[in-house]
Amino acid sequence: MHSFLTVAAGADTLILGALIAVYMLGIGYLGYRGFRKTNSNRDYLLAGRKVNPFVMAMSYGAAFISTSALVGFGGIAGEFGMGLMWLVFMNIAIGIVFAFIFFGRRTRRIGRSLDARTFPEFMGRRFQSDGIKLFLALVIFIFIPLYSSVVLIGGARFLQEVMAVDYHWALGIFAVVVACYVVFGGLKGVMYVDALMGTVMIVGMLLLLIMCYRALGGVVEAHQALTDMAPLAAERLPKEFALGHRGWTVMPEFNSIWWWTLVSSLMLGVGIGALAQPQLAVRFMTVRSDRELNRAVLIGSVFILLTVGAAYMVGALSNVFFFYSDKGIADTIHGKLAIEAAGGNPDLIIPLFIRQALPQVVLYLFSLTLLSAAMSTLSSLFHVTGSSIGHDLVSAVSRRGENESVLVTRLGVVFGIVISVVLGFVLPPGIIARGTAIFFGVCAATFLPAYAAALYWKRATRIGVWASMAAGLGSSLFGLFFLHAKEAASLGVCDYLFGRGVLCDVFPWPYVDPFIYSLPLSLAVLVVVSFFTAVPDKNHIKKCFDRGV
Amino acid sequence: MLGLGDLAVALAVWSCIGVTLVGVVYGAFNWNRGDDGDQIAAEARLRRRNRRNRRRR
Repeated sequence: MHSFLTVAAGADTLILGALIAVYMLGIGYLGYRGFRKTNSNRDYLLAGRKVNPFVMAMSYGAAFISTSALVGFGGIAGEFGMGLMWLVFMNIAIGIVFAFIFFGRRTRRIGRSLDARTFPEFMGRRFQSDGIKLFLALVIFIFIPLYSSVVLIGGARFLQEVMAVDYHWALGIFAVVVACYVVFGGLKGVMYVDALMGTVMIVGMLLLLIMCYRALGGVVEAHQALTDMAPLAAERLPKEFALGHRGWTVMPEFNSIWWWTLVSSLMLGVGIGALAQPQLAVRFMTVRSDRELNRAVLIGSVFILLTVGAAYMVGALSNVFFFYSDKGIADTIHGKLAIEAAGGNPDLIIPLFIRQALPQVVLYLFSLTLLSAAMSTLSSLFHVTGSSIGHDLVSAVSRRGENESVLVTRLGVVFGIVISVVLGFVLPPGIIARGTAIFFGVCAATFLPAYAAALYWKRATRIGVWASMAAGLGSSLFGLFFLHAKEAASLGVCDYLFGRGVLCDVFPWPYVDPFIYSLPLSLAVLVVVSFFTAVPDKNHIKKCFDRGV
Repeated sequence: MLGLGDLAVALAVWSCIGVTLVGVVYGAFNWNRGDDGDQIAAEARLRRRNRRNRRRR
């Protein structure tokens, strides 16, 4: 935390505070608009299924890209370099283009046919099983608060740094502000605010990238300067070098620890995991027709490139800035590599770079950008957790009217927020990127084969889906607790039961993300069990797929 | 190579730009296609009404 205070010393907190206050008023207005336009449970959960494509794409992107992506992974790019650009490619190719074209359309159509309002309800109705709905709602209820708290920590850290307020206060203030517009505004409030925030994020990140290249003398010059620094990885960063780091503009050494982390956890786990995130999938059901999804592909692709792409580039290039520039750089930072300047904590690289490298005016805009990134992701996570608790779990056991359902969903949102805040207080620092990777990996292994089958495979059976989700979740958790070194060590269960860090210490297994084996296992179980169980009801399948799906 | 030290990283950067262009071209080309919202909404209304009628009976 020491460098936060060093960094925060130059901030004009009065101007920034006033700017944030005005921004909050804007958010309050949009939240209030959402509240006024929310008249039913369908409005609260699906924004009335009439969302504008710009709002939908911005909301999808802003919910997708959090401070974890900008600050957490941007910091990792600062430490390990631009190999992370493959994650940007996966985010755009799989998370936007593939997701909207191949998953979005069918989710919207089938969801509408089945009158589903949440992701668990969609899956439950598609496979005619309240049990599946409840299981998914429970998984969301347990795992999404973990991701929410990770996003919350990112936002609170940033607030702490730029506003120089106590971390715990920052966490509390942040959660309350987001809670207000989610609880009252529902998904309409969330998506309107997301659209504003998404716009701020694009402008802020684009400006950051341009200023960064300008400060470093141009695109090719900046890259070349970073390429020339490669020998420093061996000289100055022995820990990272041992992991496989060979420079900031080259891929890590093949089959090294960092190579496996980059490829299995980040590129595949996070990249493919985005397909099966309930808070994103539900947005496909908010639009009126395929036309809105087609338009959203255009907006969403540009959004991801300009936000995440810019963050990783700037994260890596911050090394050149810290190492060579002597203008406005604090004595304690000048001549250091980014990770050295940040005191070994990659989460601090981007905030430190912004503080040191950018003029005050841009700093203010970027502060709003990061606040927006955190708030927009958080609000969508709060909303999906609340709807799982309120709409899927509670409403399943008690039949209620439309207005009562909205009330129960709102209470569910409050409950989900409280859990995330509590986790935010107890989770250790430096968990931003790991937490995100865990969440995406578990989501992908548990939901993805079943979700894909719901959209494309008429032969998939209820029991097959049950078995697939159980295998995906079980193998993911087994991997996290007993095989994957980082999580197994911090969770401590393997050590407690067997007296060793991981069950199998043969390289590369302790560094292979559980997603790599749990997803194929989950898929294989789905196919095998479905073929050995009774064919689904033909009339139901016809109802799901009859509209040219 | 854009001054990058490795073909794989340069490929990643160019692929990001390439796939964004694919998204832009796809979105622009299909900007006005797929407007079936009213038809779907009408069908969903009809189905709900039929379901209610069946329950009443």
